[in-house]
Amino acid sequence: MTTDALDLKAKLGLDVFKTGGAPHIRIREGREREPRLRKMTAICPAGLYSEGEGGAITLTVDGCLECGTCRLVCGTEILEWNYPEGGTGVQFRYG
Amino acid sequence: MEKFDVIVVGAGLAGLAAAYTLAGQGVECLVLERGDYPGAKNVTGGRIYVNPVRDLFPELWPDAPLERFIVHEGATLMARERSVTFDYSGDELRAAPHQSYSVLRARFDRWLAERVEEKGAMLLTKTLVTDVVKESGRVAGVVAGGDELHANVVVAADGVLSLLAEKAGLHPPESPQEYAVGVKEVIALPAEKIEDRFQLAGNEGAARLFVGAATAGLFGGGFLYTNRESISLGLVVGVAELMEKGGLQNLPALMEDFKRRPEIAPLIRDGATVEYAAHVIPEGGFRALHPLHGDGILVAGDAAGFALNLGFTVRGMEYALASGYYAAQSILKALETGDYGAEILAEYGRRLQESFVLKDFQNFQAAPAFVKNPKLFDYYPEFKGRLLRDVYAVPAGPKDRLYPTIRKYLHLKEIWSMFKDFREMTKL
Repeated sequence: MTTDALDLKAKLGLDVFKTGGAPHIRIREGREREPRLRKMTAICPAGLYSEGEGGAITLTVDGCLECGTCRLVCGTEILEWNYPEGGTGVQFRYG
Repeated sequence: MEKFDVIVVGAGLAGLAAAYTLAGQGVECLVLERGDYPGAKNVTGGRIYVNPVRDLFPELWPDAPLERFIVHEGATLMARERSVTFDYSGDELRAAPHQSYSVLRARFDRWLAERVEEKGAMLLTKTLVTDVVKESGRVAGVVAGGDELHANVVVAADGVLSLLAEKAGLHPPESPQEYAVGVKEVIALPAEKIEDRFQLAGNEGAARLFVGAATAGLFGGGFLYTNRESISLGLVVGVAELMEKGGLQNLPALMEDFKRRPEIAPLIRDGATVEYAAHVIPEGGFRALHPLHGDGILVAGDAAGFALNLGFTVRGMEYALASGYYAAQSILKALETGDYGAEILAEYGRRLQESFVLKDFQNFQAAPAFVKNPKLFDYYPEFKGRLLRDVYAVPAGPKDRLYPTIRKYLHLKEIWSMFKDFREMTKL
């Protein structure tokens, strides 16, 4: 990992996350190679999108800041996008 | 079946303002919040301007947990290798009542929610609303945790993505052109260090905006607000502009670059980042506002698009509070008639039009186009930086005359293009 990627992991480690429930954002089947999805590898503030073998994009939803950017960039035809279940996900202590 | 007068979705500023006003009038009001506590999902830059909403909630402000009142307004044109900053301060900013405060939302929203509960509203946290309930085409409640909860009126104050109003059929999914994404670190520092570094006395605070290389020339900017014992530091970048970069501009890396800038690094030295947040922000202004009401539903705050960026002021929270207040006023009128249809609820839009909310959005219709002028983020910071470099430079030999130095950068083409930008500014 690059220094910046490590910095990002460390920063996300400062936040409070409550786990539980199914992943709230999923890439729809067959859309893993969409160019818009690839853009998220650079845009996602939490760095949760990455490019795997053969150019397929994968998403790890742990550490999601629920900012909403990927819903705007990709749209609901590429992403199945919901908020996490009540009482789970990021809990900002400062905001 | 349980039925409420009003269900408010989202315990942010808009929703809490609506519930506070309604419960204060004895209306049975349920607030649903998906976070662990009010504020858990809410993010600001941020600063709140109190003047426009002071009289709407006069009893709230004396005890409100705000951070510092802002007495320094800084703006930095950030070129790649240099920067030009101006700082405005004045007795008018130091005199009470103070016009703006830095604020942290987890603290503020939690406090406001307690005041709302004191008024008699019911608050249910950890509760995600997943849909609206529709009866004969009109909104009649919400679905939360698989249960249907019914109400005469639903207030969609569920934040910038406004999923609830979308599900109610009020608007299609949002497009990236009308939004920016903000990332922010809260950096803890002792109050004394903050006061020394920013020339503050007591509870005074500073605000700074950075335009140019902070966002690698893209629409947006950097921001810094001093809180009591922390600094809120972050970047805001247009979502469409990031997309146009084809994913080459890494947003988290941009934030790290920003922190390393010589203008920033000494200000946050020895500070410890205690939280990292990100959030989408409405940037479309008047033209991009969502429909404000439907049958049985009102839309308030970020969900309606109530954020306004004029470049030097970036505002949203007071519009959220006021829109919640006016939503409540319109609901009170509807409750008198027992009719909750779109025609009666249109009162909300009329009240907003008579208030500073829609007056500001109408008066500053040209702002989104003006602040998106690409030259603001590259050409002007670089030009101003080079100009001052040459004005201030003292070379080993004789110094060049000033006028030819300036003319070196100002060909007729540049003057004409600046004139055109100035003409755009006159539309504000």
